[in-house]
Amino acid sequence: MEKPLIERMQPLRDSAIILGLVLVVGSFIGLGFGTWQIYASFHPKFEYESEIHVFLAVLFFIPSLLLLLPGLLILRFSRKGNNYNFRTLKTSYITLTICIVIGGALIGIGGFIFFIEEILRIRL
Amino acid sequence: MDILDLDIENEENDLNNKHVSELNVARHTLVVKAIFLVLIGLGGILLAAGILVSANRRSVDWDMRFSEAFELEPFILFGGLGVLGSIAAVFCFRAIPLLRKSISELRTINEQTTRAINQFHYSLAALFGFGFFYVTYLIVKHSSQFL
Repeated sequence: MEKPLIERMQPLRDSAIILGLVLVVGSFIGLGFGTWQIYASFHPKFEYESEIHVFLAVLFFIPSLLLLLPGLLILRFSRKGNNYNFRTLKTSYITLTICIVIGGALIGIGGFIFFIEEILRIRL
Repeated sequence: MDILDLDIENEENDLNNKHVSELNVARHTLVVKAIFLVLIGLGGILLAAGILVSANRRSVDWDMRFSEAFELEPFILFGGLGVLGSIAAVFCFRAIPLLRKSISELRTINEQTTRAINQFHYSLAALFGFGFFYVTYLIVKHSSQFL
């Protein structure tokens, strides 16, 4: 006889803990580096380069904040309880999809362009 | 009494309409994720291949005698992202038809489906974990250039 749905969903919640923790820890590391760059931009040593540090900080902050939301939602889905909370799973999947679409478009288009450029440069 | 028990059991196991509509959205996002994970995989592998080619720009030399221009760190980063992205895309493509069958035909989620989504979650965690922690390692290693 098949187990009840809540028991069958338990392994899914366990894997969601791992995924959620990776996303949340990674986001906090990104936010830490962003804060570090903000601090560096105020440093008198980099008086003429402060814009670069602010730009780097923004570059760290945006993807970190984008990934923090699905990470927290996936962690919320993984909590034990009597309801299945598919709404949280749906919202986390939508936000995670937005992140993957942005990353996939950047890496995919960049990879194609870089590879074709390098191939065309070869003098056989 | 037996019939009542059976009814309660069915209620516990079946998905209601709200769950089905929510899981349908999750399934559609899985399709989009799979397509863009393929893009991450292809793009990452092409970036790594481009770094290899640029190391031997004059002619493609496949006996691995790289010039000094070869950069190992971006090669590992993009190659790793490409391989892990491809693996995650394969698991995602495996989970989509199982989830579709579960929510529309069976009206419940069977163990095979949860196992497939589990594998997808783990592969996605490996992809993101590798990306985050390798970039963190690179930043810490080259931190003297930032500060």
